[in-house]
Amino acid sequence: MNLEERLIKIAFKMKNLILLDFSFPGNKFLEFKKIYDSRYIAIPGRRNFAMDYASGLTVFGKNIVIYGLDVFSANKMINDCDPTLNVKILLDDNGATWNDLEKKLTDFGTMLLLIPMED
Amino acid sequence: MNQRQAELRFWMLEHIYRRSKGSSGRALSSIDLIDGLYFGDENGRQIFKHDPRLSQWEDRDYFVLSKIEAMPALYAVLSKRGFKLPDVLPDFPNRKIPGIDLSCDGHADGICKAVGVAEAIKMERKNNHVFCLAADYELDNGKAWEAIMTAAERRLDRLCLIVDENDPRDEPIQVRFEAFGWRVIKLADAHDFDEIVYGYMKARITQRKPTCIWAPTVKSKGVPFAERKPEYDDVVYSESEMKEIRNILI
Repeated sequence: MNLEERLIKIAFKMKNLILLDFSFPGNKFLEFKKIYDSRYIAIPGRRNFAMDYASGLTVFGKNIVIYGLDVFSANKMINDCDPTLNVKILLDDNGATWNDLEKKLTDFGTMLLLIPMED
Repeated sequence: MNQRQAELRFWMLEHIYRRSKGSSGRALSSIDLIDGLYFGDENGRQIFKHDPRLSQWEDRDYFVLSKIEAMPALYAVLSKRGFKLPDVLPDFPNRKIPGIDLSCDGHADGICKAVGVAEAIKMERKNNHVFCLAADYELDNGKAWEAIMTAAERRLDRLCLIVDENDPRDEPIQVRFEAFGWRVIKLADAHDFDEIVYGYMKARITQRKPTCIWAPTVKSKGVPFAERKPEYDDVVYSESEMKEIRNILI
């Protein structure tokens, strides 16, 4: 199961899941967008404000998945981020099965920011 | 300047004096904008919906302070409004303090976060508004413009960005907001309570586009010996200056 299929499955159960796609040129989650149009936001090429924008989105208890940041900028941003926010970087998904994605999303409660790295 | 504005100024300057840290001139330029937001009303209805007794009220509006130097001004207004503030107050906006919804610790952080909050409001189809106070120099950051572009593209009409322009530039930056698709309301006198409140009222009823309130302010406004003098921008006033300020304001 690839990342998109896994996210579609999780989003069905987790109604507050939002997918932010910062990858360039984007269009990586067409199926997700088709099913959950209002929960998918594509902002290609604007990575500098990604983390702050996502922090703002969490005020109503959303679970945010940010896609498209490289590990270097993700690590840098995680240090600059609001310390009261639960943030996690998904560094290795054990053979791209994404089996533990749902567990990682639910473990931290509603204020989670998860950042899968760019493949 | 009305009595409340004078009292707020004195509270804020005393706070800075006690801490021996702060930018008095820059904070004085913003205090009337924050005062107008929290104390302004239209026929008895709050312009900025909030309740000091219920700081986590669900229907409240959100205020994001991006201009960190104006933190003492926000504390002064929150205290005057009746929020129970702790004795030790942080230098940066911190969500653990009653009345503060988002923590910010860098330039233009608040602008980006305010866009995120406005997006969340739009998604939830709620009726809240987001007001964000930013300084003109924060617009030098690239991420501020990423946020500004995104707000216009996503038609975040619940967002109102107040730009405190206390350092006028030759190039009119507000024109760029219009080019991106924002509604721009330029205040003629950004220290006049009625004009500020009227600006917020217009921002609240704007539809399908975000609003920028362009507020040309004066640094150290209300302290005659320091007004428009750059050497007073980032100072903490001395004891003798505080005595003089007390005579002027109280």
